[in-house]
Amino acid sequence: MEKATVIALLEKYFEAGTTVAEEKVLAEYFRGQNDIDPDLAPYRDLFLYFGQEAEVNAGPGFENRILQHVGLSGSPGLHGSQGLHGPASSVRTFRLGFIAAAAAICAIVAGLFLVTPAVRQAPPVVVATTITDTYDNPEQALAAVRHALLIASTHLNESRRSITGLKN
Amino acid sequence: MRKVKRHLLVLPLLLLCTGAFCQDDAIGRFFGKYLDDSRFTVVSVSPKMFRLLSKVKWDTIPADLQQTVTRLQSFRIISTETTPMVFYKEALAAIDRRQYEDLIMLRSSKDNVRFMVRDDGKVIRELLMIAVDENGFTLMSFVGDIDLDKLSRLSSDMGIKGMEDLKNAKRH
Repeated sequence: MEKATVIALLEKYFEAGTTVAEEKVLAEYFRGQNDIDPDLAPYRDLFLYFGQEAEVNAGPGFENRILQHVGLSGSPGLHGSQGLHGPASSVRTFRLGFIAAAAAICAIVAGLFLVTPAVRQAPPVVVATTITDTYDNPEQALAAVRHALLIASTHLNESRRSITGLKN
Repeated sequence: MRKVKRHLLVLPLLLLCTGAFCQDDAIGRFFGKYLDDSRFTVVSVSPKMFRLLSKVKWDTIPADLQQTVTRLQSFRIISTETTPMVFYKEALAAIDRRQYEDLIMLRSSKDNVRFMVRDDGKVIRELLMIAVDENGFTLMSFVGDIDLDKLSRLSSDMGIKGMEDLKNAKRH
């Protein structure tokens, strides 16, 4: 093939104007000719590369490898409905569960703030369960309580009489 | 996912429970600390014993006292004559001011008396009395439904015998 023809086809090729047949002619020229014009030699590697890459294929079992990689092993195919539904459904369930858990936490936190101030300010008074009785006899216990109440009452009245800071 | 949800729900509950348990109980720890200390006299009456008080003959007991006692759930008193001001300050420091509100504070040259209360908004649930003078320190706690007016009337209804009877009480 004449150099001028090849150059014309190359110009047409790089302007994306060649037909498939013309591209085939160019490919055969660069791959087959050993005595390529030195001016055209730089293009040889390009067409050799295109030729080599065109022969690459996915090989047997490509689809299965891909499906295995994305966790759909054993499914009948990308368009098989059963293979996609399980995991997609679990992802959806996870998202719904996460939203539900987040909503529950928000509700609890909101509840803490919405509790009326009266309730919040009134913590349950814990009666210590660890109190051990000093007396076994109820009458002695009553006498002790009575005397303590008397002391408290006396101090209360004394305080009230000379009080400087009485609330209520 | 269920495990995750369970953990997410348990966490705030744990936080709530922690807050509730924290309310109990600096006074209890103060009593416990000196329960077996020979310098202190400690008297305590449990809720169970208060329920047993119904078996006591109440005929000679004034009405205000009856009503006051029947509304109590527990009672504790601790007193000492050793370094009273030291223990007074320690007791005051132990009281959680977020729970107890000052009711009355009387300070004179001879003694200090403080009444503090813990309430649920309507009813006084605990009355603390902390008293100190040069002779001794006393901390007492009444838990229950406490009516201050009735308590105030008690000293006029009853004869005053002073604290001596308490000091003779069986040491716990």
